[in-house]
Formats: sequence, structure tokens, C-alpha cells
Amino acid sequence: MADALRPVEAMHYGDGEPTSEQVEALSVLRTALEFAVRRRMNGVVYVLWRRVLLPRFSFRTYRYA
Amino acid sequence: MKTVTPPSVKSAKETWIELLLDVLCSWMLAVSVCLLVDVQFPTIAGTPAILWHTALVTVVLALLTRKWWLLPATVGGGALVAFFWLLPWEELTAKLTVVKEFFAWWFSNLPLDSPWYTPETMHILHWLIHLAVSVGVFALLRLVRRSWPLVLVGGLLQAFIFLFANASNTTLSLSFYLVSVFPLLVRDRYSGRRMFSRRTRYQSMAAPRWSVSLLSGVLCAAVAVGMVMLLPGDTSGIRLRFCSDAVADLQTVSEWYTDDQRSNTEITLESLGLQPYRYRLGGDLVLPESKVLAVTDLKEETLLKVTTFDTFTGKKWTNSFEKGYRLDAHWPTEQAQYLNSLSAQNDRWAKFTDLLLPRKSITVTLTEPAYFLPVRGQVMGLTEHTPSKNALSFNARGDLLTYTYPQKAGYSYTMEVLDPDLSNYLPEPAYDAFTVLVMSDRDPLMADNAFYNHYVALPGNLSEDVRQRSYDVTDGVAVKLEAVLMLSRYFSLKDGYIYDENPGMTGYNDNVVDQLLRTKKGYCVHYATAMAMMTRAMGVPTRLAAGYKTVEQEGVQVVDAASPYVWVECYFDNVGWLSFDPTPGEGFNKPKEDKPQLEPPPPTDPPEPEELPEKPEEPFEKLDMPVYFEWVLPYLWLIPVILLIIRGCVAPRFYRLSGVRRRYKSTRRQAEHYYQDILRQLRCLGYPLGRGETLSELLARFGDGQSPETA
Repeated sequence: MADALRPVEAMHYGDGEPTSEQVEALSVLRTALEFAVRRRMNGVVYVLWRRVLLPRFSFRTYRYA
Repeated sequence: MKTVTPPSVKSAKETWIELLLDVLCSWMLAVSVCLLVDVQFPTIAGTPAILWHTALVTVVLALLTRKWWLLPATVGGGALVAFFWLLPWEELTAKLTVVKEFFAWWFSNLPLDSPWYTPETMHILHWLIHLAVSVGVFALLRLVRRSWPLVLVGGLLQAFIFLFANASNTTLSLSFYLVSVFPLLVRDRYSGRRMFSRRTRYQSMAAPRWSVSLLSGVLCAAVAVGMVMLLPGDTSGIRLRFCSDAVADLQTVSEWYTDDQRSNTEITLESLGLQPYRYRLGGDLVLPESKVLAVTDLKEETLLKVTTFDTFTGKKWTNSFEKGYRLDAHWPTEQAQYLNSLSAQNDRWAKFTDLLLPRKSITVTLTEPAYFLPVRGQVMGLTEHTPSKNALSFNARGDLLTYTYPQKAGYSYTMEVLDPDLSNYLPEPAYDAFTVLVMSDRDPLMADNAFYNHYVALPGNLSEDVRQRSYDVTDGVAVKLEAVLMLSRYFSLKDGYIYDENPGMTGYNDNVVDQLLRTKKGYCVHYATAMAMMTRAMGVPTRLAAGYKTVEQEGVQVVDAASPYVWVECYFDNVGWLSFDPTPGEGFNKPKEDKPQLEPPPPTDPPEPEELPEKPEEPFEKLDMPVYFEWVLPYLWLIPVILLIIRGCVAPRFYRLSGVRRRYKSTRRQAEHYYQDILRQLRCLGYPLGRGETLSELLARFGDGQSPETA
């Protein structure tokens, strides 16, 4: 996890763009964490929140989710 | 170590033209809603005021809607709109007791009788309603981020406005709908794609993306303006007949009626002028002023019915709202039951009607707008001579009526009716045919115990004298039709009853029937009610028919408002409703001098057809036929609910993670997006990134880079 996030942190501190392999690792981490989040939450609540509320009420980041 | 806040990923910046277009579209849709609200709840402010109010409100809201705190206000506005939508649905609100009590309290506290009820305060109230509606529509546009829900809702609104609004509202709202919806249709900005196209980006378009919607909006506005300019002043004629027919059928199926429709389909004895006091019958008659309501081609005086009453409470006659069936639609069973369609009857019925009920053709022309069309006897068919958009309907009371709009003055129609001539004593073959007909088949209405019990119900304050009198009058008569005929002539021929429009007030605990039997004077309400109670005591389903007695003016028979009249209709198996007029003297049933007043011929035993199925004598003993699946209908709404639950709970188990992949402009943005999402996931798992905390410190909290879930 730290390995995956380290390029982003480096990017914030002024390094260049991460490589495509690093972005792919981020994507894999994100997918794994999403299943963890889903295991942790109630199914109905998760669907309501992830599929309806989050895309609708978040104007910045998750617009196309 | 210096903390650097990660930049957020921003969406494509919208131009001010797009914002302006959204404001315009939502305003137009809000105007449509407001027009509908005005139709349902006509208040003092006119349509121009609505437009200005809504425009002002929406512009203000457009500047403010990006704030989060406006969401509760949006919900409140939506709730208010929902409240106004829920109002006509009496069945629904009847179930929501709490809501109903709240609104009852709310309305009871409205200062309608106080000095606050002024045009100015109503203006403010109107403005508030429009504010709420505009908030709702605009917020809906911003929240759903799709244009198709608004297009759909707006289309439904148009349908309702077409139904219930007047001509100017119809034209206006249609124009606004065109202007508002088509820019949304050609460019669905929020979903990032154009409708009717799979392209998700705008790069392939030749012009800037806002210009497409602007151009389409201008074109639609031109079309709308042209439509308004081209339309004649009176646009009621352009409403399509088949549209109103379809909606009438929809109303029949769904039983969705507005309060206006419910109130328009009520005619009371009080409004006819036959009930001087509000809460009880009786008293000296004060007839309304003379006014010609319709002209007929009848040659002699007759009775024309407009409605019937089925419940006598002891004080007065009442009826309840009945759903309407469109006359030309496919309701053969109902039509046969309520209006007696010839096609539904058999040869025995035809033989009887040839003897007793000659067919006539009556043409009526309205001289005043009317919701109820005057009819006579049993209606076999109806031909309209004046084209009209209003769907003609009939209901279980046997009324021939039009919903929502009255038929205009000048509307003309010809009806084929079975006009019973029951003033003479019937020939014996008629009784034979009647007996054969009654005993031949099982009548579907009489098989319904609810129907039978409803139409033979007697009020509690009726004395036993009524029942005894009916037995005395019809003693020894076997044929039910003959017994009813004897009852209808009883007041004319026996015991010195006289027609008197000033019989005196009925006592508080008294009823008109006992008063009539005691004082032997009264007018048509007294006699018809008395006969109805006596036939009901005999077990014959009876209702009170109300309408007008035609009078001759300048050589033609006209329906005059100054000559309201009531009589009695009795239901016989396989025959239907037959009219009887018991009022003596000056009434319609005045004995003619040329007819000898004979005693009725001695009753003859009806022939007993052996091959016919046996029929119980008393309808009390009829079998109670269960109606299967009737209980399913009120619970049909559960089906979509169950489907929604399945979709929400079961189907997501087979989902993958979001299948929509965004095309990022750069790898940096993609990484940034994933990073923000992972932070959100960690927050959900209980490891939020603290304020001022770096990513390294957060990972250290996990313990050497080990995630709690993915380790």
C-alpha cells in the first residue's frame, strides 16, 4: 500500500507524473479497498451511498463514478 | 516538513451561457408547474404575475443553488410541491392519517375569514408557492444531472394541463414546455453526452457546445411564439378528441379524479330547487327563476332525467361520487348494467320491450352550458351533432355526463331511448312477457348483494305505517311490476292526496314520508320519496330520479330551470331501471279526462314456465358469489416496490466496481483521482487523514505500511 501511494506523495512534493505502471498499482489498490469498504458496510447503505449519494452530491471528484 | 494540500480534480468548467440556459429551462418548467397549480388552486394572481414571480425567484436561486445549505430548502420546496400534488388524492391521504390531520389543522387555521384574507396577502402566498416550485424544479435539474427525468415529468404535466386547464393555460404551458425541453433534449450537459448519440464528448461538434442548445432554444422559442400567434383566440376547439378520450379511459381505470371533477358531478335537490332547507327535505317550495336550459324536439310534456339519488337518510336524499365510463369506449358490461345496451340483451328482452317500451329518438340542444345531459328512459345510443372535445361518460347512477368541462351552449345530440309509457294499464301479454323475462336469467346486478341491500335500505326514523301501507295497496298482486304500477297510481287515485307546493315544514324528527301519509298533501319530492320507501319496503330496488319536466314555450318543449321534478326508478331483473311518476294532481301524472279511471284489472296468475331454471323468490336467499382476486388490486403497487428492493439489494451483489472509466486528460489527473478515492476509502475504514497529517504519517499509523484490511 505504501509502495502504491508513494509516487502520488512524491508528485505532491514536486516530482513528475507517475508512470502508467504506478497508476495501475493505484487502481488495483483502490479496487481492493473498495471491496473492503463494501464488506464493512451494510449492503443497502453501501449501494445507496456509493451509487446514488456519492456521485450526486460530490461535485468535485466522483462526478463520473 | 511543509504540508502540501493536494489539488482537487475539477470538472470541466461550465460557461455562464450554460448556466443561463439552465436557469431558463428550469424557469420554463417551473412555469408549467405553476400553471398546473393555478389550475388546481385558482387564486387571485393572474398568469403574468406568475411569470414575473417565477422568473425573479429562479434568477435569485440560480445564484444561490451552488451552496450546500440550499439542499434542505430544496427538500422543503419539494415537500410543498408534493403536498399540492397529493391534495386531490383523497384515497391516498385517507390512508395517511397523520398527514391528513396535519393538513386539516393547517386549513382550519387559515385566516380565510379574517382581515388577512386580502388580495395582497394572497399575492404573497402565491409568490411563496412559486418560490417553492421553482426551487424544486431547479434543484431537480441540478441534482439528477440528467435531462430525461425533467422531460418526462414535464410531459406528464403537459398531459394534465391539457386535461384540466383552460385554453390559455394550455397554450402557454405547451409553449413553455417546448422552449424548455428541447434545449435539454439536444444537449444533455450533465451526462456529458448528446441524446440520440453515443458520443460522449463534444470535440466532434463543429460549433461550441453551448451554441447548439442556444440555437435549438431560439428555434423552439420561435416555434412557440408562432404557435401562440397563429392560434385563434378560443383554443378550446383544437384539443384533440382522442386525447381526452384516452385520458377519460385512464381516469376510469385509475380512478384518479380531481376535486373539481368530484364537485362538478354533484347535483343535489337543493341545487335543483326542490329542497328549500339545507339539511332536510320538506318545507314550502320556492322554485328557481325561469331559465331555458335546453330545447328538445319532443311533441308533448315529458320528464328528462339528469341524475339519481340512491340513499335516503331520513332527512334528505344523497348520493356519492361514482366513477365515469366513457360512452364510446369498450365497457359493454357496465354499459349494459347502467344504461342498458341493446346488444347485451336477448330475444325475451326484445319481446318485452316491444310490448312495453317503444323506442324513441329525442334530439336535445343545450341553451346553457351543462355537465349533465338530460336523458329519458334507457339510453340505447347517442349521436353528437356538435363536435366536442369533451368525452361523454356515464356512471353507475345512470347519469350521462361530461367531466371537467361543461358542454357548451348550442351542443346538440340525438339519443335513442326506450321511453316507457306506463300511464295506461298494461295489456296482459306484457305481464306475461315480463314474468318470463324476470325468471329467465340471473341478473348480474341483482346477484350482487351489496347492490340489492344498498337500494332497498330504509332509514331508521321511518314509521311502520309505510311498510303496512305498501302491503295494503298491493295486496294480492303477484307480478312485481304490476304491484309497483299500483303503488305509482295510489296517490293519484286513492285516499284524496293532493298536490300542494306549500305543505308546511317537516318536524325535526319527522320525515316527509310520514308527513305525507298524515297530511295527504305535498309536492313531487314528498310523493316520490314516499313511493320509493314503499317499493323498497316491498323489496324492489329503488332510487330517486331527479331532473326536469319539460314545459311548452312558443310551441316547443323546453327544459326550464323553474320546473325541476323528481320521480322514482325501480330495478327489475333483466329489465333494468323503469321510471314511475307517483305525483298526483298538478304534477306530471295528472289524470287525463279522456281516459276512464278504471280499477286495475284483476290480477292473473303468471304462467309458470317449467323448463326455466328455478329462481328463489326472495333475493335475500341468493348465493353470495365470491369475487376472486378483488383483493389483489389495492396491493398492485407492491410489485414495483418489490422490484426496486430486488434491484437495490440483490442485483448489486453481482456488480463489479464502477464500470464507467473516465478518460483523463493526463496521468497526473488520473493518479490524483485515484488518490482522492483511496483517501475516501480509508476514511470509511476508520483511518481518516488528519488535518496537517502527511501521507507518510498516516501510513505509519497502520504499522509499517500494513493496511488493516488488505494485509
